[in-house]
Amino acid sequence: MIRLARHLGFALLLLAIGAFALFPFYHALVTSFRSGSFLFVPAMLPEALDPRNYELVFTQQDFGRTILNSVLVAATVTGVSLVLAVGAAYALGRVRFRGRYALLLTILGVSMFPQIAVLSGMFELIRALGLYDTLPGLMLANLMLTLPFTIWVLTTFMRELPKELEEAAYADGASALTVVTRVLLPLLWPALAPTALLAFIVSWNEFLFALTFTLSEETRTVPVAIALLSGGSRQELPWGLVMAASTVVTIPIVALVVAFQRKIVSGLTAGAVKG
Amino acid sequence: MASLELRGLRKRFDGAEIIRDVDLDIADGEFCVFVGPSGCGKSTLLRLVAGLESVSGGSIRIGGEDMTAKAPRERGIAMVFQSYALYPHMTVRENIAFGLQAKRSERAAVEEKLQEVARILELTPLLDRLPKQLSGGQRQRVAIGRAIIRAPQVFLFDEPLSNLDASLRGQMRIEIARLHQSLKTTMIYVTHDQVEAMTLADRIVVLNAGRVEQVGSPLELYRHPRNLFVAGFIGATRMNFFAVHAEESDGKTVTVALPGGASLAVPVDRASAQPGEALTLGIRPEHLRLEGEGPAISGPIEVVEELGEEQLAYLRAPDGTLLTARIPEGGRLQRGMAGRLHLPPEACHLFRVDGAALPRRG
Ligand SMILES: Nc1ncnc2c1ncn2[C@@H]1O[C@H](COP(=O)(O)OP(=O)(O)O)[C@@H](O)[C@H]1O
Ligand SMILES: [Mg+2]
Repeated sequence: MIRLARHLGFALLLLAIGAFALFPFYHALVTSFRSGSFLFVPAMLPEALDPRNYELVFTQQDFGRTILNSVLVAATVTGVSLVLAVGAAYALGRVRFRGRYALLLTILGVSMFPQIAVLSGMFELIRALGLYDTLPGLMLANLMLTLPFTIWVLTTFMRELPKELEEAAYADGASALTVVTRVLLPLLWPALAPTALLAFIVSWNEFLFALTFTLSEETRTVPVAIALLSGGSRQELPWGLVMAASTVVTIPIVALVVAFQRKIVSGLTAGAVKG
Repeated sequence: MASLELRGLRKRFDGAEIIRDVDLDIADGEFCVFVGPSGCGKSTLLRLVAGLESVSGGSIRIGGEDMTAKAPRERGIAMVFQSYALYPHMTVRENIAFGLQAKRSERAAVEEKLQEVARILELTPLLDRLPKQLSGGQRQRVAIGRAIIRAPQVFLFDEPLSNLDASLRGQMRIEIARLHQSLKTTMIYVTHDQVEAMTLADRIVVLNAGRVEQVGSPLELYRHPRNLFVAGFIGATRMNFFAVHAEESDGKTVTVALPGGASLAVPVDRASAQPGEALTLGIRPEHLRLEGEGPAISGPIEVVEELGEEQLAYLRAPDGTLLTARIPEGGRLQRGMAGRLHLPPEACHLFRVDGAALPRRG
């Protein structure tokens, strides 16, 4: 009896958490298929599936280009973050040198500044480098957001790997680069996949830097484009359009999660073997 | 193949001296065993040779070339670790071939060597398995295969058998001895197990607290231990020690008084002791005799361990020390009996207060 109650309680809790997490997305999805005055109908179920908003998102502006920009920025930032973070994690996690701890704390410190605090400094930097209103400029800025946590997560994992594996590889005549790429990296997969995913999402959703460091439509990324969507008049907020655009840009993230999920699982089983 | 010279080697970890001034020469093709109690610095010394740790002082020469500051891959060594350290994400084939690929060898040549190594170590049917699908002994063989495929100048083994069960350990010991006979490569083998050391070594290096206590062939160490530590450490059952006083000495023998009163004239090689000097007498359990003439120690037999082909008997001497005797036949002594053990003078060892042995004849 008590067990049944406990199971029931647990199920209810799961349901509540699930509803809380999924309801906003469901609401966005439903809203994206509504237009005009239907937008303000409080009904939970959609009356009709009206794809007009989706058409409008792509015809009103070059939304395809915007998505491409976002993909480019997020993918590059993720790739560069991982390459740099793996190297940094190797140094911070496996090599003993003076000031290692101080360096780790500095890296953590960098991620503690609110984005808005570094905005103007970063702006000067980007303009000085001649990268204002370019995608590389935005990538550079986003790296500041992704690098600290990718380095931290990978350093922690790097430390956990048995030291003898690395030493065996050195004794086997491998160079430091071979050790990292052929021995440590494959064992880091379980950490690498979710870290990459997080870095991608952070960069994909980044708004403030994108708004400040880009100007033209050619360099606009998704969050900015959605914020700048305009309705029929000044007073009208185009909810349907916003929701349609938001739904569209969720798809790449979901696809990535699904793709990475397998990697995470296979990485886990590979790493679980004790030498 | 190469000889090895260590000169004044030192290693400090955070101020603690772990290796203190080690001088050692290992000849080309020699099977050298480092033995010593746990924590005495055996692994550290081996890792210094491998280049996995940097030295705090001294030099390392391999094959006549100064390797002190060289990276592991420039030293021509191959190492087998206690935990095997197989790459978990690679198959047996990839594990073994890794060292050659790191050298960028030609693919056909790699495959040929791989097949040969697999044949020697009987790993051919296992080549496509992952380490987790292997038994302990098989993993051990893969680890050895990974080392021999590189045809190094020096093999380094760090307690390679300590994770195996007793019967497998005996079997692998023979395989390693055979491997050394066929490859004739210089090998350094670390173990805390003195039986492994005695059976495998051409030469044994006894380490204690980061120092070399003695270097010599197994028989040399067994017959002429240089000090109390080596005497106590080498030998399947620990040597018996008791405190005695010198009565007289004439350069060829030193006569001491045994607990219980009997005098024993121990033959020595040009050594003497002052009358009344405190000494330690040592005799191995296998040298104590039930029958015989001459000095003996009597006392109650407190414990008997029956092993079938032999007995281990523990006799309480008059001065309170417990004497271990190996009786080469089962069933001769029982607990509670009054025992009497003879000490053949030529089997006795004498040590001074500082632990140094008096030289023995023979
Ligand atoms: N990387 C290290 N840092 C600090 N101390 C170490 C390190 N490696 C070994 N030691 C110390 O050195 C001593 C000898 O270790 P080791 O060579 O592994 O002994 P053995 O192999 O003979 O059991 C131990 O007291 C150990 O704590
Ligand atoms: Mg050790």
